[in-house]
Amino acid sequence: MFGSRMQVSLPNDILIAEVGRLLNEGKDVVLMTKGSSMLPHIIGGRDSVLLRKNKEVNEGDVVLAEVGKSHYVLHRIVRIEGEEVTLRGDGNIVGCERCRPGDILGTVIEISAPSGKSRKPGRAVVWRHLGAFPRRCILAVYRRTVLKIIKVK
Amino acid sequence: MKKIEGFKMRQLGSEYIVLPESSKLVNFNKMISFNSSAAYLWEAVGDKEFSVEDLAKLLLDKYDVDPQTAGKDAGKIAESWINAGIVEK
Repeated sequence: MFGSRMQVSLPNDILIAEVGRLLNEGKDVVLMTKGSSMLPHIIGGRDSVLLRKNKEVNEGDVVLAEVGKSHYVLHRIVRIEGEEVTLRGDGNIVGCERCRPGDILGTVIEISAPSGKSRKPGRAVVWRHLGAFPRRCILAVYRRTVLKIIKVK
Repeated sequence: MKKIEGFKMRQLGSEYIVLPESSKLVNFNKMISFNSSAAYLWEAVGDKEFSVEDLAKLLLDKYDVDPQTAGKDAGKIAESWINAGIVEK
């Protein structure tokens, strides 16, 4: 009847809306990542990210953004043209999202693995400019090797 | 026992969650979810020291349960809070 639990799965629209509110208040937020769309740089389900609301965003930044009504992604900015920001997941071969600078909730400052080791997200200059075919090949090898070794669910 | 400083409860939708939170950082990785009765107890004990008996009394004040059940549930919840690292003895 009375209790608490550690495993919490909140709907994204509620959770990320709250994250956005806290970032707007000027707080940094640590959040667990999900999915494989930022491979090989962020391993969803294993890595967590430290987010901060920066005044400016730049091409190459990894950001949390609302790209549709209550549809949020943690992807990399590949292009900024005026008021149009184009995002793409490092692990996505095709497809990208578009939003306005005001739809960006926060920027990834640091990526942490469960071991406690942390790293900067970098700008992935080479990766961003790789064509679809080499990306597909590298990701395929990565999924069959590194992810098998670390046994990500 | 007493709450460990820095853990704050907030309501998100229908869920009550407790997060480690400072003036600069909120960590959603260490999120703990409470049902409404646990949330009531967390709110009710405030920043004061409390015992399992205090929790049982609070349950008896609010819910229609017998003292034995309240005592048992209070013990379970206190244990879960200690195990979660949000309360210290």
